[in-house]
Amino acid sequence: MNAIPLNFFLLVAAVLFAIGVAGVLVRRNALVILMSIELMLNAVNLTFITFAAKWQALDGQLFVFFIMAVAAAEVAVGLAVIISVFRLRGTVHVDEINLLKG
Amino acid sequence: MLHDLMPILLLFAVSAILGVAILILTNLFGPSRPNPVKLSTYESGKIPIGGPRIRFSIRFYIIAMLFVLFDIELVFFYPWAVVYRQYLSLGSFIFWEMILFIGLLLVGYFYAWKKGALEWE
Amino acid sequence: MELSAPLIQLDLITPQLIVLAAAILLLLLPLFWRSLRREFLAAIALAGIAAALAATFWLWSRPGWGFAGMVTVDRFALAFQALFLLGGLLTVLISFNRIEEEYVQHGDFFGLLLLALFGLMVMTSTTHFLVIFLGLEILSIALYVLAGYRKMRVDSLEAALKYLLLGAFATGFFLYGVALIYGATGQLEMAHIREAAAAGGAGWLLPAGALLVLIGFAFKAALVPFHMWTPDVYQGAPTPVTAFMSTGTKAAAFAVLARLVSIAVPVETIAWGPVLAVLAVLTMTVGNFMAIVQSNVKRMLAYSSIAHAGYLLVALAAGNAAGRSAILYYLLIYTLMNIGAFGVIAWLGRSGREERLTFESYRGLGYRYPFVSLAMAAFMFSLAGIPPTGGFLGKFFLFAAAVRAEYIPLVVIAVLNAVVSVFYYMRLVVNLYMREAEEPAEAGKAHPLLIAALVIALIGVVWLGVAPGGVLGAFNAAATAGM
Repeated sequence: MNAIPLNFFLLVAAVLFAIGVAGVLVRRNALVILMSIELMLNAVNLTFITFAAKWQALDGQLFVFFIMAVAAAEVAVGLAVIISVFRLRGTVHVDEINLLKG
Repeated sequence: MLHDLMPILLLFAVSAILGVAILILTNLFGPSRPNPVKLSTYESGKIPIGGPRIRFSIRFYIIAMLFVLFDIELVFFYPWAVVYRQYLSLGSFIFWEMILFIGLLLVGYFYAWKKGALEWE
Repeated sequence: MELSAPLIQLDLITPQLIVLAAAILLLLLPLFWRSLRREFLAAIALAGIAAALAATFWLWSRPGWGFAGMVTVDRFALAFQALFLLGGLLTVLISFNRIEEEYVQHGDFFGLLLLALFGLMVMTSTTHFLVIFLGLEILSIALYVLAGYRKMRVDSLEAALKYLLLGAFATGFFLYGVALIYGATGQLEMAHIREAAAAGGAGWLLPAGALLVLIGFAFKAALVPFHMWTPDVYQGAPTPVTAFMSTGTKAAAFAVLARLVSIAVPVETIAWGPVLAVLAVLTMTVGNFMAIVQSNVKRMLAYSSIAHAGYLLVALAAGNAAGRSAILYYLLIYTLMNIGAFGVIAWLGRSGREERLTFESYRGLGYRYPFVSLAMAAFMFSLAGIPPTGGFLGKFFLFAAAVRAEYIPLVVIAVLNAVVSVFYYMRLVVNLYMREAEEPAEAGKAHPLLIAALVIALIGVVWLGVAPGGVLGAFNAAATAGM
């Protein structure tokens, strides 16, 4: 059986990464932005696994383990911060969170 | 290449056509006699008691976050377990390495426990 | 499969282990004894930092490589470690002020600070991208929490949220870059990446990956056009945390970037000079001109920190050992003068209320509080780069390295920028000494530890300005190590 070429996986990963970036830039809900960032990280994971298959090496796959663990920690802190902001402000929209101007 | 993917594409196509066909055909041929019971939300036969958009206790989030954090650390146990027997021949380092890892996790667990994050108040 | 015993050289990471142990102690102790004094907890933090500093100096004469290429403790790494530890020390000291004493009642604050410090040290004492990533995230996650530490204040939480969202966004770019570099070469260690790239023309993946890594760290180091988060986060975060962020994170980002451009992806792959020069011009100019229009001192210092990242980029663009040595020297001075300046801001805070952050609140302090005002004036002179302070000498070394690499127009722009910056730093000094306030600010008695931090920073800034010899020699040795 012919395997699906690795380039297909890379293409999917690139598209996922682009969707994640667009989500961060376009969406205004802090939770959705956090989810978009997770999408970017998962695109990175897919890229790493594909290249690990290309090089027939394990270090790419190991990197993915670490990314997953760290992403979980980041999300935990992120949710905690978002909940605290919501308690004080009653909103999680980053446009309305503008006490500090650029 | 495309030949290999043909079965999957066919599956997609058939399921899409089937789904759309059922929706259209039932609308065309099915009798439409609505009444309040039929239009209400289907809750396994029970009468709904309220909207689903209520606030959950913050405790759920804290427990869930702690679960996710400790759960994901398990990912490091698998590669360790795979090579454990082989590396044991080189000395007990691989054993103590994991003890240290669990020890560091326990620090976090202990912190959460003592801070009262696990109490359901 | 062939087995080999794992290589464990624990002595190489002694400083990191000490800092980590102190951090865990600070997190756990208050769980058992609830009424520990703040001074006692700070003493643990300071003792840990001092011991780690001693271990760093001990390692200076025996650098090495360990953990199967995961840990690189060369003099470049050790010099940065000493820099971070000094920054951590000053940060602990300046958190003894009247704003912070209202909520820093327990070990968590110092524990998280030491964890961030641990992350900085992990991140720089390696040339392996996996370890860089882990260090970066240990640092970042600790800082996200610290930025939102005043959790009853909206601006602190918003700073945490913005820092977290943009920090995680930047991490995504960094990781995608690393993934592409891995795809191009099959390696994650910088020296191996270079070898693999030289062996078999890596194609466009390697430069693309390197540029993405650059973007990731451009966010962390607050380089224009990736600086949008900086003023908000610096203003909202607690002042000692801002001081630590503005110096530590920037230094670590430059350490990794210096290794990236000189080891992993050399100039044969990407013309780093022009890329970094363009970034430098943008960063300096935007930072300085935005700093002029600020009325809030913390925001002014935020834009000033962006401008300073631009000066550092000038030397990075030069791409020579003199440039790296100058970056180290400037970062040392920057750590001293910037944390010193934030220390004065923290000192002026009123208990139970806001910090006093407008230029007007500094009016007439010069004669009421002579020592603190003198220190603030010295830090401002140094930030502006006026002799005989360290800031002047540091800028001189930075620009001299660029001249040596024949980036003359870049240096001209940098000098013009430095001249512009004098304006807004002097505005604060003028307010200190030459304006009378209708209602002079009352600062009260300063904590001895805060004064100690100001004294250390003041002595350092002046000493580095007049007697650079010994430190510069050490940094020259560091700049050529392992490159």
